This record gives sequence, C-alpha cells and structure tokens, in this order.
Amino acid sequence: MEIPFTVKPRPDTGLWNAKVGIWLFLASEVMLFGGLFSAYIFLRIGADFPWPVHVLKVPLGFINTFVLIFSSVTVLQAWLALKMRQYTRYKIWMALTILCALGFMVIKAFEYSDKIHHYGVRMQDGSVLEGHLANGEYNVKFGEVTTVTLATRATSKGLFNINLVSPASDAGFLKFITSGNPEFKDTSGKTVTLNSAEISRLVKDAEKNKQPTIKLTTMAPLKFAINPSKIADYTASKVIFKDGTEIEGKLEDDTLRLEADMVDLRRLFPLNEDRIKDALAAVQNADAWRVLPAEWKEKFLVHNKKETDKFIKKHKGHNPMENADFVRDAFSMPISLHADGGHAAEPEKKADHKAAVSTNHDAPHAEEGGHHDHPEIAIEKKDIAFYSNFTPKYNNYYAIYFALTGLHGLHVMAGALVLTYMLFFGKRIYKVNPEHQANRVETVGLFWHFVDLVWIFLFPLLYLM
Amino acid sequence: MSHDHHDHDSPEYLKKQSLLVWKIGGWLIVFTCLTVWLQYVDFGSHSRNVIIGLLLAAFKASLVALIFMHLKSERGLIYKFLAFTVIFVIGLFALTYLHYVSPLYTEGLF
Repeated sequence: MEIPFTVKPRPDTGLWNAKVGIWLFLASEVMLFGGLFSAYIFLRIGADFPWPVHVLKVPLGFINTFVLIFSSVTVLQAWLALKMRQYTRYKIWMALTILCALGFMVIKAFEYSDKIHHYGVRMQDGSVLEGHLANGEYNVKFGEVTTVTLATRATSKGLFNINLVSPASDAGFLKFITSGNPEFKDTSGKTVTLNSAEISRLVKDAEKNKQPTIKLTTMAPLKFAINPSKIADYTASKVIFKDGTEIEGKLEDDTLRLEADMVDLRRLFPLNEDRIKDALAAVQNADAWRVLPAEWKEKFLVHNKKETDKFIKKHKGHNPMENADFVRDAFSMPISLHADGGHAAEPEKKADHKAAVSTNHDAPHAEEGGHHDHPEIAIEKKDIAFYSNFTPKYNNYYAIYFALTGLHGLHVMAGALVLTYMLFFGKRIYKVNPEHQANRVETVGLFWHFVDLVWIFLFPLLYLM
Repeated sequence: MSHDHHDHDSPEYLKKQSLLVWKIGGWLIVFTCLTVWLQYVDFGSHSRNVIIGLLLAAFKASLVALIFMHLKSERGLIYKFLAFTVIFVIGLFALTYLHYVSPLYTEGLF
C-alpha cells in the first residue's frame, strides 16, 4: 500500500501529511518546554536566595550555540541538495549535521562531568565553600572495629498493617575495609570469613530462624574508610549502614578536605542589611570564615574594600547593600593561588599572590596530584549543614538546569538518530521519488531547528543571566 | 515551502535559498556574540540585562522560525496550530504569575 500525500498536498489541508504531523508535534513540544520555562521563572523569582549567575562556563555554552546554529544551516543545505537532486552533496551535509549533534553531546558531557566533580559545602550558619574534594573523595574513617552486626530482612507492620521490609545486609560494607581481613567469630565461636556468598547464606539462615541480627566478632581489629552516601547514621563508636549493617569501633576522622575555589558569605545577612560595616562584621563570624586560611581572610577584606570603592565611585548616593550584584561581588570571592580564575584577579597582584603563597602551600601540594592551584581547607563534620556536588539536589538552579538541558539533550540525541536514519536509509525512497525524500528531510529539519530554537533561549537563561 | 508555485523548485531559486540560509546562520552567530557581550555590560540593574538578553533571544528565535522553518511562507493551517499553542503557553506562564498575585503572597505570608 502506498502512503498517501507524501508529496502532493492534501486538498483539505493544502499540505503534505508529514508536515501537518510534525507541526502538531512541535506545537506539543512548545508547550512542554513552555511549561519548563515557566517553572524556571517561578523558581527564579521565588528564590529566597540570590539566583546563581555566571556559574557555568560561558565559552562551552557559546561553542554549543555555534555548533547547533551551524548544524541548522547544514541540515537545510542537505535538504536543498536533495531538491537539486545532488545526492552526494546531500550525504555530506547530512553527515556534517550528525557530527555537530555528536559534538554538542560531547561538550555537554564535559560540562556535566565538571558539575558532578564540583562540590559545595554549606556550613551550619549558611556560609558556603565551593571546590573539589581532596583526592576526589570524602570518607568517614573508622578504626578499631571489633564487632560487625549483620541485619536480616525483618518485617514489621506499618500504617494500615502493611508489611514493611527493611533491607538485609549485603556485602557492600566489605569494600570499605582498608586494613585487616574480614575474618570473624560468630556467637557460637565458629570462624567465618565474610564474602558476598557467605553473607547471603548467613542472612538467609537467620531469616529462617526468625533471628533479626547476626553478631560477629572480628579476629583482629579492622579499619574502615566509608563513603558517607552508604551511611544511615553514625556516632563516635558506631556506624549504621543503609543496608542495616552495624559496625562498632572508634571514629577516627570525618573531616571533609576541600580544595576550595570559592567562598560565598552572602547567606550571613539579609540582602537589605543597611550598612556594609554590619555585614562585614557578620561575615567575620561565619563558619566558613573560621576555616579560611588567614591570608585569604586578608584577601577577602581587600577584595570587599575594592568592590565597595568601585561601587561608590560609580553609583554615588546609592546604598550598595540594596544591589544584589554588588553583594555578590563583594561578599563572595574566588579562591585561586594562581589568581587566574576570578574577577578578583588583577595583573599586578598575580606576582605577590604566588610569592606569598608558595612558602605555605606549594610545598605540601607538590606531591599530590590534581588541583594544585587551590588551598586545601579542612572542614569538620559538625560545621557542615549540607554538602553535595552540583547536581539537582544542591539547589533549585541545578535542578532546573539539569531538567532543561537534560530534556534538550534527549532531543538532540533523538534528532541525531533520525538524521542518521535519513542519511543511511534514504537512498531507496530517493530513487522512487526524490521529492518524497526531500520532504522527509524537511520534516526532520523542522524538528532539528526547533531543538536549535530551544537552545537559543536556554543558553542566555542558564549561562548568561 | 509551498509546492503550487513551480518556480520554488527552480535551480536559481534553490541557490538563492542556500545563500540566504548561510547569511541567516551568520547573523545568528553575530547576534549570539552580541547577547554574550551585552550580558557583561552594566545597564544599571541586572533585570535590564535580562530583558535585553531575552529580547535578543526572541529575535534570534523568530529568525529561525520564519526563515529556517519556512514559517514566513507557510500555509494557514500551521498558523492556526501555532495560534492555539501560543494561547496554551501564555496560560502556562499565567499559572506561574497567579502565585505572585495571591493575597497570601502580597501580604508577606509566603
């Protein structure tokens, strides 16, 4: 059966069918993204804390804008080549379009990975330090572990008498052992060496006997370094894992070590705080201030003074504290030993930054790999209210950033798939009716331009403003 | 692209189209550069930067829609679809706005 109206317009619509279809689809897409842009506006005007501005790398976003615009041009060139019945040229333009789509996704992947490895630590009083975890990890260190208590899959009656099943111990905790062998004695004195199979056998047996826990004593004390995301709760002598396993020992170290690249003290005072002096006094009691190395405290005060003078010179008679941009610039500061990253950097300062810092910081950092240009700051667990990498859970900005760019990225991938199909499986239809293939490519092109159009709004909204 | 005009498929016309597409692509890049630059210019308040950025984005988007997506020479039916879409999108944005005119919000409870 032949598909009707692939080339000839349908008398009642005046259009070939696929065009009606793609425009109906695009109409629904406009509403989908419209709803999300509406959510963005809602979150942004409703934010009770200054909206993060310029936190993404503009050059990468700019390159991606360029890539998408260029691909919009190439997909049109491919379509025009078909119209001119030049199949080889069509293939070249189409391949270029697909390469652009892939390029976009690769750049996006770099941007996402950058965010996933970048952390923010919010202290109890709301001050914030940003940076990378030293050696890329943060572990809770536990030593002198003498008992491990495995949990079985206990059931209990919850609300409306629904059976609630708690998780049973799995072998996950074994990989956090940093010294010692997982050899234990059970309550009857029998020796067990724990591994994944042994744990599931023990748990199954205990479940059969309706025994809620299995207590094991270590043959020799063990040491653990545990990923906090696997911990349900811990005290100075005990860790409860999320799977229900408990270990008893001694807390050795739960300090978070951050290679800090930014200190943000804006949460310390309300935005309409009248006097800079009061704000500056408040800032100097901040939790983040306390852990900041002395030289950076000095630099912060210099930085604040400079920003204040700049503002007063420019806007005479205005209260700087009513200006959110000023408050951002004066009360947050990039921290970089090479002073290449932030707006605090000035050419003549670069030299003495290096000189002042080299004695204290370069030496201990020299043997470690990674981020040499940021001072390592130790933050005690009790000072941390919340810490997270820059993923949706960090704040509303990253939530809407990942929602919008993620959905857009899915559209890019879908577009790339259909474009690829058109490139490799278009010849047969082209031979039967070249105009039909041209119309199919026009249809994909319409979708592709729409993806470009969404990015035209996303780029300024997320990267620039 | 309407297909009842035969000259729309003539090689001269298509060559012109190809050139136009390159030109518009170039302008889109130029306006992107302008958008980036203007976001770092101080207009007195950040909201002015936001408005300027959005106006430029809207202009770029209309270039894409009118020329790349051929909306400037499209059939009436497509315009009817889009008219409905615009109504619904305005509705979606209005829902957001409703929160900010609720008496609870303006009286400072939320």
